[in-house]
Amino acid sequence: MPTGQVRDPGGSGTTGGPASASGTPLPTDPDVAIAELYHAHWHRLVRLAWLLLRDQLAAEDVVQDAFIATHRSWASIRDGGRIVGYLQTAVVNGCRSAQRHTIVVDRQNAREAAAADAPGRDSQGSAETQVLHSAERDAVMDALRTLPTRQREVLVLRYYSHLSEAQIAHALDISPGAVKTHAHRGLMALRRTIEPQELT
Amino acid sequence: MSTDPPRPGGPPAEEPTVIGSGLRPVEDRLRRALGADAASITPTDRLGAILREARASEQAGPGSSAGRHRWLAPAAAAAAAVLVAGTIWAVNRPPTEAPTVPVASTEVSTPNPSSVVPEPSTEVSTPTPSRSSVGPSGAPSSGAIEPPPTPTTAVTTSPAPPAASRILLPVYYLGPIVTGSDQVRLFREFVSTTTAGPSVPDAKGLAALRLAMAPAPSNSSYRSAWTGVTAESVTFGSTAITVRLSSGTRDPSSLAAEQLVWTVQAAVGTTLPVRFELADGGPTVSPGHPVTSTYTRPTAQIAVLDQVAPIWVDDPARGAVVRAGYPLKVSGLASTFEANVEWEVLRDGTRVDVGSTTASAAAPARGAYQFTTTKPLGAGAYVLRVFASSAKDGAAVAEQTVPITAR
Repeated sequence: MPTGQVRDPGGSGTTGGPASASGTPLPTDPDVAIAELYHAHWHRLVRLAWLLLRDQLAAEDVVQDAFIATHRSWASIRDGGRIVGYLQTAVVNGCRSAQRHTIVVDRQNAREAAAADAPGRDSQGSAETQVLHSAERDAVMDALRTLPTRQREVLVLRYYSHLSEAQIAHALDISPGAVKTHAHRGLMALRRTIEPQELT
Repeated sequence: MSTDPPRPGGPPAEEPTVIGSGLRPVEDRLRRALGADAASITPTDRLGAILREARASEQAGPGSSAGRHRWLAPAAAAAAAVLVAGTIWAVNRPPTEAPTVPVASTEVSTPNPSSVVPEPSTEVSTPTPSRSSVGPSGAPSSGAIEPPPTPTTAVTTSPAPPAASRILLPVYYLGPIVTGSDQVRLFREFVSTTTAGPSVPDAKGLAALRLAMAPAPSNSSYRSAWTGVTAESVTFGSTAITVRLSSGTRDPSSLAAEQLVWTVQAAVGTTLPVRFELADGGPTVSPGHPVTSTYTRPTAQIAVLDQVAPIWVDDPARGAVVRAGYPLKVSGLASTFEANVEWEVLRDGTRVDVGSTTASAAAPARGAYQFTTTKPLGAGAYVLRVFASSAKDGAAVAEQTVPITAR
């Protein structure tokens, strides 16, 4: 069994060209491949989904399904290279899908309804309160949440996942120019929201 | 966009950031916030679940992967056919967003096309299969170019939402604070229901009231105080919510009127005062609650605790079907001494799993709690019990029980 980590050879630093030229053979057994991918990327991808969805359960479900889809189609994905890119895109797409779907909306409704159910702000949903927020982080994350989906995706992929413009363009299936636009608009909007606080 | 922001200092073209230096502080703060926020969660281990499900879906064929989160089938579809997803975005993109390149390429990479489970009504796409691996495609499966299985191009085409939509409504039930107690409190549950037409606040309020007034769920210890009374309308005005009932109730339950107030305010999503109208002209909504008064939920923590149960379970829902082979994820709200929350899982009355956790706030505040049970559930019927014990004698002082089925 190959023990090397499944990765996108060059895939994380380039624009995602076919990567099969790498020396390390990728496992043919999907179970082995998925296990390696899981160990290398599960936490990071769940956190990516969390940043997009703000719902840990849904985030894990999305990433789990991305892994399952990868497992199911392993032979062709393996031949295609860009495996991590595949997962990444599947996760971003899955988050969108989940966001659209009523379950996540339901949970947000539940949080809203819950917020009205007690004095103070103690009764928000668990995802919101499970951690102690720093005021700084809160301000930025709150501002991020008000952005259009696409801007938020671009900013998260860039500043959390550290993807290049070209990689983001690939992951979101938009042009590099659009990535620039979204990033710039998103940052401008964030600055408008959070800087007044900073200057006081 | 053709107008990049000004770039003082003129970074070279391959410089990954095109952002003007004026935005650097924002970038730094964003990077820090994202890192810290991402680190604030601890992903649970799901490798076993992934492998189990992947194998099961291979054996069982299409549709089997949906399981517990059937709602994510579109996500699986998106993963298997990411290029189609590009088209979805093109169709669904909010008009406010900048136009991007036309989606020219919609190859579908589905070596196992049947595994793509179209979930009716969720996705919109008009795939125009093309084998040309054009520009922006680059999507993850770019190497796996197979002839697109056109007939299955998964993602369905139903732009309009269905007429009846499923929504989740907060409903408050009257129940004993612990089994057998004569102290009644309100238990909030989120109940899935379908509404015809748009889910405007009035309709949601009315639907939630009808659920609250219906006979109590048979698998609960709740009771209805509204037998024989129907909710006729809910009007969400600018200064009050008006609830029209066929009549008042004579049921002596102390919180009958409050039950409706909490329910309709939660369903409508506002704490505007509630005014009642009684179609039969009666004088009282419930004993001691004249129809001439307006009502609202209390705000003081102690007063809230006099009305609502100390422990609520938000998830799983009553009667939920969860997937066997996994531990159970539970979340809810609690207002307990030192924020202690205990739980157990019962099967045929026998405890099969047990644990405790801490809510984010202690009584009299209400805090969120969540936990995952320790053992995978075998297929079967269970009761989840979340409770708080007396520091004095260990007796339960608050509890909520939720029957579920693992399958």
